[in-house]
Amino acid sequence: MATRGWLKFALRRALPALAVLALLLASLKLAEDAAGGGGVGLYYRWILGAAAAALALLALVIAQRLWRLRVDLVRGAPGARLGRRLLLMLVLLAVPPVVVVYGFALRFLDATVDNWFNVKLEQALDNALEIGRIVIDERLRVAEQSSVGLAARLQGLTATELQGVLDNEIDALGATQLTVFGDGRVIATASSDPRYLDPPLPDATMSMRIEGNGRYAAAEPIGDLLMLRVAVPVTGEVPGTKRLLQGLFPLPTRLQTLTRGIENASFDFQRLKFLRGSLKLTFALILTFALLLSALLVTLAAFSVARRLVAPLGRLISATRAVGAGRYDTPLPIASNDEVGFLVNSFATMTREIEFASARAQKSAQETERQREWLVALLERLSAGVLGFDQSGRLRIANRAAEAILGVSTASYLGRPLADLEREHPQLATFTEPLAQHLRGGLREWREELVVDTADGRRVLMLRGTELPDDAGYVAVFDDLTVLNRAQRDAAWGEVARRLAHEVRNPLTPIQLAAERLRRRFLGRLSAEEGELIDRATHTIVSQVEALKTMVNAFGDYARPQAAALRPIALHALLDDVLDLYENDQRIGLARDLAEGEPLVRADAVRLRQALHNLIKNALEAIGDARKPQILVSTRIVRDDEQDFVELAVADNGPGLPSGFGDRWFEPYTTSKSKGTGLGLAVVKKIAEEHGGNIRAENRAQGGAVFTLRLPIDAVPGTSKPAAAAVR
Amino acid sequence: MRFSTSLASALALVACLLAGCGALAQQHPGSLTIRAARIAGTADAPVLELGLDCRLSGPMQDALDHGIPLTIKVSVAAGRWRFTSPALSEHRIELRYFPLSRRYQVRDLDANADVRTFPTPGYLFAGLNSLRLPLPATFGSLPRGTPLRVGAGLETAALPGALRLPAQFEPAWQLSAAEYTWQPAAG
Repeated sequence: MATRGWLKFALRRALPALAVLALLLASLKLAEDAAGGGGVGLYYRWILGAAAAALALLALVIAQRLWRLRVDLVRGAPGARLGRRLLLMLVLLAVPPVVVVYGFALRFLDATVDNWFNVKLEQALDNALEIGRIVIDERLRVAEQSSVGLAARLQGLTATELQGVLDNEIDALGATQLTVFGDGRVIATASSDPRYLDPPLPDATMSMRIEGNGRYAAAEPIGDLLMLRVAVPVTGEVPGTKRLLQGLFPLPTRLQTLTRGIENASFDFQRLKFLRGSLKLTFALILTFALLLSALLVTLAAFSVARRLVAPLGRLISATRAVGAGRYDTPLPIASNDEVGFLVNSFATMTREIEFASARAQKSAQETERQREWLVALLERLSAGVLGFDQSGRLRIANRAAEAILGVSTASYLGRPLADLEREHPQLATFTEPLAQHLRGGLREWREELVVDTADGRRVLMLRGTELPDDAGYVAVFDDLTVLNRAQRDAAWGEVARRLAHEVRNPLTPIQLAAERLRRRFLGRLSAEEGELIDRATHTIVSQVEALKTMVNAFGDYARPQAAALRPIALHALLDDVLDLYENDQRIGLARDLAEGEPLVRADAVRLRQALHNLIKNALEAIGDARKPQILVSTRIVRDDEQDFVELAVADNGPGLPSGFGDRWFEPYTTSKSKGTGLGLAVVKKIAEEHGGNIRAENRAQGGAVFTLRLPIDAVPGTSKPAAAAVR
Repeated sequence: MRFSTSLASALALVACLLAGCGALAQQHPGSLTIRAARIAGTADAPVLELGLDCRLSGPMQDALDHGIPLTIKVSVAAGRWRFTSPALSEHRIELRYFPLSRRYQVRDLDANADVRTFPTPGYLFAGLNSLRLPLPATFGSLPRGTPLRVGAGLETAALPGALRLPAQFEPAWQLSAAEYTWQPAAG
């Protein structure tokens, strides 16, 4: 990790800084060298290479940063576009002045260097040089004449004589050195300056000149001084030998100094003139380095400045996005003491307020949701149906009770007008039409009792409605009065039965006893005709009183408040006991189809037997004498609303249920038969309700009717308690 | 419009670069060849007798005529590898022009005594054919069969600062002789 951090620091900071430094030093060194004070000749190539490498490195760093900016732009990084704009602005602000300065510097350099080479100055220097040459040539001519004269005097002298002449003549001629060569060897030499004791040997050039021109005369730089060197052959020699007189003549000190000065000045001028182009090129290169250094430095600085300016804004944008996404704990950049800092502080304050507001809103929403759930739960558990409508009459809410009462699923009608429900369920028109009328009427409240034919039969509904405040719509609440009415009727019948049993039963026994006493007292005393009359009358009275007793007992049974002794009953065993009573009756075709297992029900065995007897009796009475009764007793296990039930069905082959058969047929005194009290089914229904069950009737497809008694079951078949534990 | 302008600018730049490269390629470089080399003199004072065939390019000759001294660096080494050489010597031969006397001078900067002047460049180059460069005494006591190598070339480091840049890139300023190798017959 530390290595990576160090590497990152080196790549991002140290290397660019080193490159800038290297380029700066290289430019300075090259400039110093071009001006003549360098001394970097040995390292010139390395310096040039270092400068180029530094430039390449800076260019690479900038390219890498540009690439990073491009990547940020492509992925939409916060602040990338602002950073690009700032970068462009800074570069556009900084680079043009640098380029302008560069252009002017180049122009100035060109003009300045050219101005060094004044034509008149060059001409003057050339003239001075020419004068110097003329003076030297004049001196050369004098020296040449002196040498020629001396050479003439040296003809035919021996070596010793030659040395003597040279020693004598050297001062007379004003020479620095006089030498006589013979066959390439020094024969005699004389010197007036100890620095010039060794005579320079004639070279091939001199020999060729002498052979061509007969003499040699030239000014030559010998040692540190410019000397006049003259060589003339010594004629009249000894045959076979070839002598040469060479004389070195000095220029006067003053002339030496002047000519050297002229030569140096002219030379410097010429050298500069020759170097003019190269000098311009070198300085242009250095200026270019400086330009590139400035431009790259400015670009790098622009990157840095843009990054520093944009970084807090970028982090602020990130934070804005995070806050937008609901993450309020996103860290914000450290606020600086400027406008950005003010912005950051303002944003932090705003974020806190939004966070608080959001928390409050969330809490409120949760509370609202809880309230809604509570309301929904409340509505779902209401026994009354509830329908909610908006201002335009579209259904917005309906509870389960509404669906149960109306017998339709309301989910598909939510958001739809009431007319849709009416169109698809025309049987509910007696409910929907008045309701729609009330909704259209705009009444604040209404109340109406309706009779509606539903799939489960005719229902009496009490519809109440009210307008919701703030134009929120309407709510309609309706209760199913059917059960209530039935209960009221049942209570009324119970009261009637109780009174009948109480008021009617008491006089019946005295009536019967009185009729029997009349019969006993007067039957033997009266004439046959009168006795027969008495007999018939008393018999009628007694039989009718018996019938009344039977009826009163039946009413008594119906009205008697039962304290049912509920205990686990093995239903199939009980059924077998009851059905066995009818099994031997040849007039009845009895069949049984019982479910597997032994369902246990919590029941009063006596009451349950009575119910079964009533159902069989009802079936036999319904069949009548027209055909042989065929009765099928069956059981099956059903599961409804998380509760197991056993359904005991008694089916017959009678004429079936009369038209309009409904719940009222389970009320006392409702019967289609000529015989009977009309209490059988009412008692069955009462026994069913005492056991938490119900009774329903329907026609069979193959003819006849079936009455089904549903009782809650205690144990599922197969898992029931042992039969021995149950009561028959 | 902007694209065409940029394209024209790029083409102009490429043309300038190509022209510059073409101009550089057309410059005739000088030539420097080691014609002969041998160790002479005594064992105590060995001397390298060196024959250089030298021809300066136009810019070099111009520079010389304008008073810019040119230095030819001559390096002598014994043995196969320079870094392990038992004997090593370097001489800088300066060519110089004196306008007042109109003479060219050859001088061994590392042996001040040897100064020769010539009236024309032809004589100057002829003079380079017979250079005698003193060597350290180690060259006189080399084992028999030790190979000797001589190299020569223009020393750009000795040029004026303003000339160093062209000397790095222009062919006219490239002057270097192929290394000359021989084995002396005796130590």
